[in-house]
Amino acid sequence: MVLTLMEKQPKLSRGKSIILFAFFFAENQLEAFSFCFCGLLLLTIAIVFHSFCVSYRRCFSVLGFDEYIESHSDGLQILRYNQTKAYTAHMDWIDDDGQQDHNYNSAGKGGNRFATILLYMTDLGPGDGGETVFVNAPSIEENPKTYKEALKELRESEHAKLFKRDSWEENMVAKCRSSLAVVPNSARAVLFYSQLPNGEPDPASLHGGCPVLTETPKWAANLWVWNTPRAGFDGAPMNEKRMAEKRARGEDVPTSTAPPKKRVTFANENGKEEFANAELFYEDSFWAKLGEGDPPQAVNSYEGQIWNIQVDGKVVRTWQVGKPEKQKYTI
Amino acid sequence: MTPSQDNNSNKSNTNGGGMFQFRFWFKWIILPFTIGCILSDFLPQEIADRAVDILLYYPKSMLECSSNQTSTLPLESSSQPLNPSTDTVPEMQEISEEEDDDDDEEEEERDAISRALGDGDLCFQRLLKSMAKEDAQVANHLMTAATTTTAQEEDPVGDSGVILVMHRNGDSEGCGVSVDFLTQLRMALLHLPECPVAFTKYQVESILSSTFHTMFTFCDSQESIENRTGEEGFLGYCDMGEDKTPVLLDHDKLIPVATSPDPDAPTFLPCHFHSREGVRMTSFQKLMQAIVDKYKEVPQEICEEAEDGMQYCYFDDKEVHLYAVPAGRTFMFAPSYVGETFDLPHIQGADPDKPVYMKVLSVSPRVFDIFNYFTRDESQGLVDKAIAEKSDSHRMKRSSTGASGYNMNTRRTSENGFDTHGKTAQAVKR
Repeated sequence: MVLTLMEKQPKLSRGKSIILFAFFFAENQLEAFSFCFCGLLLLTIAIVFHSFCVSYRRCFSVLGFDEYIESHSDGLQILRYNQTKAYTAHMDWIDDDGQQDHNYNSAGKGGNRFATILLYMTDLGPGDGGETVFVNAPSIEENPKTYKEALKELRESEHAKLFKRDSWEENMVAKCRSSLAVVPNSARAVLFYSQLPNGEPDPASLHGGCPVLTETPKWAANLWVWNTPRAGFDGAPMNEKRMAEKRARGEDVPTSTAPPKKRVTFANENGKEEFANAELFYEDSFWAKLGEGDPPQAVNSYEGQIWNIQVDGKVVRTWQVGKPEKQKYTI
Repeated sequence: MTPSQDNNSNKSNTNGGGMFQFRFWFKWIILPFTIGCILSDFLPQEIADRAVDILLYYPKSMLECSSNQTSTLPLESSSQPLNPSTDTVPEMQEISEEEDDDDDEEEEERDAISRALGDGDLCFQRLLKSMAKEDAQVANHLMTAATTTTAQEEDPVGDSGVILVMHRNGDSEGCGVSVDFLTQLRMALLHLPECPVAFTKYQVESILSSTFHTMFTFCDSQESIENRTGEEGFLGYCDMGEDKTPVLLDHDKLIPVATSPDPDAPTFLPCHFHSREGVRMTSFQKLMQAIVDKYKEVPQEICEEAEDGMQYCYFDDKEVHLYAVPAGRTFMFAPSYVGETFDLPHIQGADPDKPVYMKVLSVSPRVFDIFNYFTRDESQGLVDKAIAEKSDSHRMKRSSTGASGYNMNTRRTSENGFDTHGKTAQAVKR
């Protein structure tokens, strides 16, 4: 039917064809115009939805993922370094010596931390310490110092009193001033990889948190992304050797490191006025309305997870999911 | 671990009435939406055109009850001739003559291209139609050149100045170059037994891997013999072997590639392909768009002084760089020097007015500054939430280390907490 119509109008422009299309499907002019009205309305919704989606795709989009996969990332780890506090050089890639149920061998079939996005939330100056240092990478300063020069400079400065002589913190300050160091600034973000393209850990990614020399605490955050689902999630790679050993010993062998799901129901059953506009939140994330007349919410949750009831933006009830397989919480 | 809706307890009524449902959606959702797109001109042209394609093609396929439009592609069929009796080309060819343009000249040009491409080039014709009109004209030009010339007599893409450079994942040095990849790609699509209405990204990646296997023989695995499959060449790189391929959540959706029509021939997992900036090539349109965009760039003239004191000038090659990532692996940026920038226009930061881009701080290790990733307001929001956090699992406390348990490290003297589902944390994560 449609094709027959189109065959008769081979020279129409695409736009004209579509309008004709609308009138062909419509039973009268009013309906045709209502098509157009619906189209504009849907278009507006589409634009708003598109903007919403784009704003929620930062980290994974930057890393080349074409979709967000919750299990490929850790929760955002917030860090605070007060004066003199530091973290010695380390790798974000986890070395477990094969003793965990999860397979951390990312060079094989396993999964480990793959990339880190470091977020800085404090403005610190060049002499304030608190940098992130990559100890195996050369400084990119115009006139880089050697380790010895940096150590001498520190010992002659007002900051010398902060650390014991030859302490690991003092050594770190010198290392921080003679290697590649990222100075914290509020809203600065840095990406680095802990793996090589073939999944081997990258020893060059050895890095540390330099001692903070000023009284202003340094705030930062780690966003770790894994090359597979991380331990404790469905689809996370299992340590097959360890599983075989467990089997040989006659022990139960889990098929997943993910914890068992709990079927939890939240309901508003008592009809109290104070809960007439109640809303259910998973931690801070809105989940569903749970006011008067709203249906119960059945969810898959996990032991220890926190659920909140909010009324007018205030938390009025908090529940922590317990051990039973089926649980019900009511207001 | 994120909770999820328990669907078993919240069953919704579903209407299985296929044609009724289709007519409803078509009449009240798809059609009005498309009209809105066309009339308002708010959305990019390619999206509007795509919707038009669905409008023009999908109804007919529905009416003819051809339900297997997106069935698995027998990729090994590249050596098999197309069977005209089973191909859907003639009817689609008819449609292509019906649709668009009041511009006679362009219509004639398209007819000429259709004739040149032949009846078997349904997928390519759809590809052209899915692009914005102006870009489709450029693509037409390239397609025509790729069709009417052969690599031996005149290099079609080479003449256009666009060169495809293939890289291994994370490697700034290319491992192979092709100037006739459009011809190769056209041939690969031509030999498909049918053309789906829409390719899935897994089909696209499988077809590209199969095509590139014969083109980029030097892009082989650089792993030692014991760390790779026996296959040489590109597919030996894409499929690192069972013991070296993490099984990701979409593993079962990957479409293996065979190098021979023999049903007993070994198959290989495909690569996925990314631009230099990390954009995954999930459709042929994206790849074609990258080629067209590069073609439209004004060539840069480079002048160098030779030893004899004379100055020699030449135009820089227009190169499209693709980064092949083995199955089960993740894309990795490939920096080549400190200070190099990567513009990321496909990323929208917290402030939409500020472009997100990266600058290389170190090549080894790979370290990048990401500019305009998040805002000072978001930064303060994360700190405020961490300070206010009271739960034992998430509040600020002395940091620990290790894969399990709480292990105090005397050389980690910071404090940390976790923000798993705060609004800002979710925004910067995703």
